[in-house]
Order: sequence, then C-alpha cells, then structure tokens
Amino acid sequence: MTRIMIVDDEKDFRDMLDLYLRKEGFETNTAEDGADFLKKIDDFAPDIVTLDVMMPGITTRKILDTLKEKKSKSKIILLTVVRYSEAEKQIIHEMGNIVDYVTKPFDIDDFKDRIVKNLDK
Amino acid sequence: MDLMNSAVYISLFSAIFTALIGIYVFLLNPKRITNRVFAVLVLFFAIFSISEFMTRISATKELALLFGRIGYSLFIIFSIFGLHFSLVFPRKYPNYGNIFTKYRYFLPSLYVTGAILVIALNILISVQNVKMSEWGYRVILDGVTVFPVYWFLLCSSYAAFTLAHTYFKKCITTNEKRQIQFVTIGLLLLGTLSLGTNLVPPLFGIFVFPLSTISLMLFSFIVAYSMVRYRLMKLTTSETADVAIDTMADSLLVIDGNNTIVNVNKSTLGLLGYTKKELMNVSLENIVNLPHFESNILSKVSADGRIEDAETEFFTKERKSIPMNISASSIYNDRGESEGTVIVARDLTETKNFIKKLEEAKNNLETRVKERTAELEKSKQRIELQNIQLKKLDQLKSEFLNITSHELRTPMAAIKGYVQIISKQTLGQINDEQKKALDVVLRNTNRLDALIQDILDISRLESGTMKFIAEHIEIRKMLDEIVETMQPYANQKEIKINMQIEEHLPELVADKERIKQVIINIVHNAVKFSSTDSIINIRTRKEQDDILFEIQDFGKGIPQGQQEKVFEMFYQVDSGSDRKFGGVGLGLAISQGIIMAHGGKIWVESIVRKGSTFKFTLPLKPVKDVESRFKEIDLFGLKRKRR
Repeated sequence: MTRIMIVDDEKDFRDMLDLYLRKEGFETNTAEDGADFLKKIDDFAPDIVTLDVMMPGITTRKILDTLKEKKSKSKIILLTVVRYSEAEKQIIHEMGNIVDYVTKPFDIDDFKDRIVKNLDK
Repeated sequence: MDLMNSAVYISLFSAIFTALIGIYVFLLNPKRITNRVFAVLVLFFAIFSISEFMTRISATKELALLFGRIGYSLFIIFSIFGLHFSLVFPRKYPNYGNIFTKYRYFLPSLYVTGAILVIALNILISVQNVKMSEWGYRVILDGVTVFPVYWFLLCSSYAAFTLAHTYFKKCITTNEKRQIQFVTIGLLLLGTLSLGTNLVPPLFGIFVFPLSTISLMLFSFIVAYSMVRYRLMKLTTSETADVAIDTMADSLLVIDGNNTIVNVNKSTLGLLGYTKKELMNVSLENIVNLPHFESNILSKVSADGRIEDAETEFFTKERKSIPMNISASSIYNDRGESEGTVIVARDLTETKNFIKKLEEAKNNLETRVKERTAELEKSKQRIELQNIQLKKLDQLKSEFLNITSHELRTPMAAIKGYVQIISKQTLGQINDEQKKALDVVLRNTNRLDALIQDILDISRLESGTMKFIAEHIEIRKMLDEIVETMQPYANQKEIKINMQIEEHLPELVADKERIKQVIINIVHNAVKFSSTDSIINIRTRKEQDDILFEIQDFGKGIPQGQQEKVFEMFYQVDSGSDRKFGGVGLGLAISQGIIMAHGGKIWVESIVRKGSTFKFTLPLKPVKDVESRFKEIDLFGLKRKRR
C-alpha cells in the first residue's frame, strides 16, 4: 500500500487530507512540523510526502537538505499558498526530490490524481 | 649846477630805492633762489647807482675815474645777473625743464666771460676818459675797445628777451603772462633808457641827461611789483594748478614743512565744512589726528618721497570722522630739500558703506544658507526617518499580505477539502439539497480564494514588488495548458474553447506564469459573461515585431464608453444591481499591468450583445527591466489622483 506522509502545521487541514487519503485507500501518517517529520520519516519511509512550505521551526530548505543527507527516496509534493514561476520551480527542484507543486486550496480529486501520476513516474 | 644836482640826486634816490626793493624781495622769501638772484641783481643796481652818484660828485678826476670803473664794471656784472635772473625766474613751472641742469656750463662760462670783460674794461677806461660835464664827472666811452663791452651787453639783453618770449609762449594762465610781460617791459625800459642815455649817445659825442639809474630803479620796481601782485616766485601752486585742483573730485591739501596748510581745494572745503580762510595757514592738526597722521603717512612720505593708498581719517568742522584714502608726495626745492607735502585724499565713506552692505549681505546670505542647510538637514533626517518607517511599513505590509494570504488560504484549504469530501459522499450519503448547499459553499470558497489571490497580486503590483521572471515560452504549449485548465470550467456552461494558432510562431521571452495568468483571467471573464452553449476563440499570430493574442467571446459585450474603463481597478461593467457574475474588478487591471510591464498593449473591441474581443500584444524582442518598468506604469491612476 502506498504510504503518504502529510506534513502540515495546520491540524484541520492535516486531518482533512489524512481522512481523505485514507478513505481513498492510502496508508497515511502525519507530522505537525519539520522536526516531527524528520523524526518519523525513517520509521514510516513514505513514498510521497506532502510538505507545506510555510511552517514554524525548521525551514523547508533545512528539511530538504536533511532528506538529501539521509538519501531519502520519498517523492515530495510541495504545498504552497503562492504561485511559483517555472524558473522558481527550477531553483526549488535543485533542492531535493520535488515532484510537484500544489497551491492551497486545491481540488482534492485533482490532488489525488497528481499523487497517483507521480507515483507512477 | 641845478641840472648836475638833479642828475646826482636822481642817482642817489635810485640807489636807495633800488636797494630797498632788493631787500624787500629778499625778505619776501629768503630761501627762494629767484628771490636771492633778484636781490643780488638789484643790489648791484643800487651799487651802480651809488657809483654813478659818487662819480658825479667826486672832488678829483682820479676819484671820479675809480667810481667810473666800478660803475661800468657793474654794468657788465648786472647784465650777467640779469640774464641769470631771466633764466631762473620761471623755475617754478616744472614744464619748462630744469634750467639749472640745462645751463650747467653756460652760467659759469657767462660769469667767467663777464669777469674777463670787467678786467678788460678797467684797463680800457683811461684817466683821459673821465670828463667834467654839466652833470658832474662822467666816464667817456669811445674807440673800438668799447665794442666788446657793448656787444656783451647786447647779447645778454637779446638772450634775456628770447627767454622771456619763450616762457611767454609756454604760459597758460593770464597771471603767468602778466608776470612775463612785466619782466619784459622792465627789461625794455632798462635797455632803452640805459642805452639811449648813458651808453649809445656818448659814442657819437652826444651827452644827454643820464637815465640809466632811473631805468634800473624802474626795472626793479616793475619786477618786484609783479612778484607781489601776481605772486611771482612765491611758494604756492600756480593758477593753472589752482584751477585744476579746484575741479578735482578728490580733496587736495598742501602743507609746508611745519604741517601748516598752505593750500586746499574746494573739494576739501566742501567735505570738511570749512571756508578757505578758516583752513589756510592753520595747522593740519585741525583736520587730522596729527600724531597718527605723522606716524602713518608723513613719516613714510619723508622716507620714500611718496605714499599711495594709505588709510586715515579727516575730521570735519563738526568733528565728524570721515574715512579717507590718502596719496601724498613731498615737494622739493631746488636743492632737493623737502619743503612740504601735497596730499590727495578720497572720501571712503561710500566705499566703506558699500563694503559694509556687501558684508552684511554676505553675512545674511551665509546665515540664510546655514539656516536653509540646517532646515534641509532636518528635512533630510525627517525624510530618512520617514523612509525607514515607510520601508518598515512596506515590509510590514508585505509580511501582512503574505501572512494574511497564508492565514486566509490555509483554513480555506481545510474548508474546501471537507466540503469536497462530504460532497463526494466519501463520508456517507447526503441528499440532493445537502449536495446543492455544499456546491454553493464550494463555489463561494473558490470565489474567496480568487479574491485573496487578486488582492495579493494587486498589492504586489501597486508596491512594485511583483517579481517577473523571464523564460522562453512556447506559445502553443502554453495555450494548451491554459485550455486544459479552463475547459472544465467552460464545460460547466457547455462553452467550447477554440484555438487558432499561426504556424511557426517564434518563441516569446516573458514571465510565463504571469502571461498565463492574463489569458486565464480573460478566458475566465469570457466564460463568465458568455451564455450557455457558446464559443470562445483564442487566436494568436505574429504582427510585425509583436505577437498578437485575441480572446473572443459572444457574450453580452461592453458599451463603447466603458471599454477603456474595464482596465481600471475595481471597475465592473455590471456594477449596478446585476452582480450575478461575481468578482471585484481587479483581474483586468492586473492583466494590463503585466502586459504593459512586458512592453505590450492591451485593449478591447466590443459590440453590445454581440460580444467582446480582448486583444494584447507582446514584443518579440523582450524589454529589459520589466520590474522597474512596471514601477513606472501608473497602473491604478494613483499618480493621476494625487495630482
């Protein structure tokens, strides 16, 4: 079963996504911030991580650097509230195994489609 | 005996009177060379007259001869002195040149010649040449031996007349001419009377009443008179100079060696408020601070002969001080001794006042400049402070907007997610009414989200903080993506989106996300304002140096007067009661800003109830500094409003 880790400091959003993805048949786990995520990632070893870019505590960049160090194979979908240009995406892409960008709020079915599409890549 | 007596007493009278004139002239100014020469000349005249007198009253022939010798020797001598006097009397006029220098060798040789002639004459006059006449003894001059004496006398007289004539021609003032006229008349009288009575007739054996002593007396009197009457040979400036100095604007004073004022001009009198009488022959002390004047000016004049541009002060009759600029020169006599000083002074009151005013103006200016500089410095500090505050505010605003958008969108993401989950019936069955209600919630959530995005964009556009990142854009691919995104939305109204893209379009260099945003916005509007089962055409082609994009709908259209206004912020065509289409009127304003920043143009062509075509161009040659260009664009008419 595909394992998805939802990393978001917003409990309501986290719970919503967790509920939806579980209902859609994914095995999920959640982390409330970067530190929590890095603590859990080794045990859970997710296929996909939905990572909110604006969280208190450890910065997204630091999280991505740590994942690189850990040689993590997890694919990352960045959740943002701003639109990135292609050039910006290119820069961010260099930072780690980022496969997609999704702007909040989003259509949940579209979101699921993206997860499936990226898993197949 | 009567005649003899009269001749004898005329000689005696002439001698006494001539001697008195000589003494008088000498006493007038004993230092003056002309006075001295004249006095000596006149003294010789007197001695001659005495000799004549003595010759005539001599008891013996021998005694008469002795006095005769003395008398005729004196004739020679005073003719020499007469010539000498003619040379020196106009010495006070500097333009005649230094006669002493000029006649340095002439005068001594003249005297030597005279001395030789005197000796010769004494030898020539023999005892036989003294004869008793009806006017007593007289010397008889005859024979060729006398001619050198006569010749000398003639030459001397001629030289004297020539000199007088030369001086006369050079004279400027009437007074000078008078003086020379007097001297000439004196000489003429002297010559005529002496030659006509004493000298020439005896040569022809004719003996007339001798008038030479009278002629000498008359000459002496005439010259002395001219000296007194016309100030001949007196230590004073001439008439010429008087006229000149009286017309001078500057003050002029002449002082003698005792610092006594001997002449002043009208300017001085006018300046100091004195009359000429009050200031003449009084001490300089009356008008200056004498110790100061002596130490600062006169000492330098006596050392260097002159001083220029010295500063001192004069005092008026009312003891008011006047600042003066002084130039002064020594007056030298013939022996090179200083006899006085000429002082030319200029009133500096006006100049000083002017300088004072200038200084005041300068000080005022400096003060004002300082004040202005201080004000500017304060303003600068204030502006800098405001700038810092503004930057802080701007930063706060950006942060606020970021946080706000995050904080608004995050809960919306949760809401939207849950609504969709429930609506999909993932959490269980819902009835149609519940489904309908959830769709309303979902639609409004989307509206709210779009609004938040617009506000975020507009604030970035307005503050000029929107980032533009240029990339190579494949137009077809970009439009495909747009249609893919928009078609589901259009499908809701069964609207078909058509694309007509010219073949072989070149790549564009622009911010792809922003251009997509523009097209999506226009397409979104087109869908919004089109009726169900309609068509939207997207056309793209190259036009000269631009790529032209057209988005055509067949909706309700925009009235003519409102077509430009649709690009204004918060403008809505249906801003009245009919607001069924939603939106806040920011989309086209944002689109216009993005296109203009890229160097393009955007406009709309529309016919009411027939539809609208939004057109925009983008230059193939990308513009530089899109961001800074964007800051210059008065996108929201803010600058216009401020004016």
